[in-house]
Amino acid sequence: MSDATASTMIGPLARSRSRSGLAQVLYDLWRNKKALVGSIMLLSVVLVAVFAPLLAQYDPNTLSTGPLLAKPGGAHLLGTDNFGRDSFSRLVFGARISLLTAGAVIACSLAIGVPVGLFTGYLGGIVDYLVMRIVEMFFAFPWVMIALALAAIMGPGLQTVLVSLVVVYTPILVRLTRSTVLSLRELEYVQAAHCIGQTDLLIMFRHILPNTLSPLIIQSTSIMGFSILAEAAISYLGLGTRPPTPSWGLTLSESSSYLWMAPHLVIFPGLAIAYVVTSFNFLGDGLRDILDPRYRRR
Amino acid sequence: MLRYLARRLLGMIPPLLGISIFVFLMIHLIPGDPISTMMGRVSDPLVMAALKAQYGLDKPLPEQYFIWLGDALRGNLGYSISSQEPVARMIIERFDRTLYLLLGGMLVALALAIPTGIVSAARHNSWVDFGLSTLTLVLMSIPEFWLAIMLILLLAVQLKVLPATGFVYPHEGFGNFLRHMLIPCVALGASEAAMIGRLLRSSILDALRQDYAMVARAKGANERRVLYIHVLRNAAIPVVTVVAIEIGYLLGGAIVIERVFAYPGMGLLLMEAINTRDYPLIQGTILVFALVFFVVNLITDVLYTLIDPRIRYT
Repeated sequence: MSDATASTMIGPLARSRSRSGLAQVLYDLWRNKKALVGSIMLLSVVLVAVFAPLLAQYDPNTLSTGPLLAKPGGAHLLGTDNFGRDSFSRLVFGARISLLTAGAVIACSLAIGVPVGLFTGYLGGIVDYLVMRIVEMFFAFPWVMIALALAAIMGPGLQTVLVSLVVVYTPILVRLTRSTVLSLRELEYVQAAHCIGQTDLLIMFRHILPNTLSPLIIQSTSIMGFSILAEAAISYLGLGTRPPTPSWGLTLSESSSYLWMAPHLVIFPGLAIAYVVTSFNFLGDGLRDILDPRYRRR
Repeated sequence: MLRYLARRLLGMIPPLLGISIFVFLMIHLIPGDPISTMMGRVSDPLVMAALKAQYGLDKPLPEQYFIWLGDALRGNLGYSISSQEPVARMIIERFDRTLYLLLGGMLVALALAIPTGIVSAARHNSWVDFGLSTLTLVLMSIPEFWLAIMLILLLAVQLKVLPATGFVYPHEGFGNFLRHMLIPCVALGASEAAMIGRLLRSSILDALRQDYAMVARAKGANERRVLYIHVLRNAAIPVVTVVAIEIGYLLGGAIVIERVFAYPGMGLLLMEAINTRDYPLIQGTILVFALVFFVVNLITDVLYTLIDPRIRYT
């Protein structure tokens, strides 16, 4: 083998070994165009949400800031709604609701779903059987059914939306974690850990859990995107966030009656939802490529 | 096949029982007593006792459940509190309309997804593939109800070519029926089309790399023949499974779409029941939705064997 061939073969491996973990992640995100575009889009939404008080010209709940149902332009960048509230201000503050929903849902779903899936997949037996039968029952319901049933029980509100979505997505994470654990627990390094006397708890959290992270990260971006769509749909149905919270779904619900007179009230919140969810989908697609073991060989 | 169907039907019973328990318990999970929940505050204890006896709420909970279950199995889902009509009759009146919407939505989804998935896979890594992939990803990110509102704005308000609301039965005028169904079905099916198209694309690409495709090429088949004659049927298998799961999402989407169009289906009935706290109607509608979902999954399992004769259910 020539020196040039050898260096070509070891080149990528040497380059990847020279970076720290975080640097490697950032390099991979930079290299993958979908992940890069998704990250930039998502970052822009986060910045808008964080700096909403600086970006908004008016308080989102202040009535009569201008003429009712004013068209975009002048003092109101995106016009006003039927109460004279500034639409741009409500749009930027609505980003907080959407990101809060996505973050809260995924945090709670992971906190419940991953440990349950980990224990169920590792222990197996009757525990696994019972848990999976319960999980399958949740898959028998379309997600809107669960949300509506809980809204009928708990009453409408953001907490109902969050609880509904956690109930919908936790079984998905349980099943994903469990299936990953099932394939990992039979591997030699896990058996070796048993042989040297490590406890089950240590094996689960030290050896198995870190290797379940890749599919969980990819699924999490999907869940975050869909939870924003779901919150918008539930709020549109009048069972989610309550007035005067500037949720994008609620804004769409309130504005659809004025579609003929003020279509701009409906166009911009929908575009905002599509933008945020697209960013999560791009990021998820990119991460799927990055976390594929065949990716690093390129 | 019959043995498999019987086993599948038996396997449906535990989750259906679980769902029936949840649906039955819904009214008891609400804070406060069920009578007050359904009818508002009742101050006279004698009236309260009479109402409880009338609705069977004075009996132990397990006994109430079995009475309710027995009635449900005989088609008696109780009476609507707001209209006093039998719940079963109210659901049957609207069931076919929701079915039209679901079938229409899935037809639109498949009509868009199949050519998109095939073209994308056939022109893998080209600009066409890139464009279609981006389009499908964006379509999946758009809320269905917002797409519905935008289509109403364009087609009903601006161009005035299609109606914004309402429903017409096919026998009352098939052309008019199609005109009323077009926007709701497109709105419902568009994001499903995007999802199914992406799945079909990756399924075809996987199948094109298989050994049997390589053998077909070695025997002289051109790429078009390999794709349509050899690969497509195998690539359809995972798509059929996903389509069944997506029916569940379509059911949920149908509820939202019915609200947008004031479409008089089961979804709108459920929304009206929730707004008026009509719990017998809520329970009956949710139970029927769950049953529909199970039946669709069963039909999909049967279709699976028709598409792939290698599958043997023992």
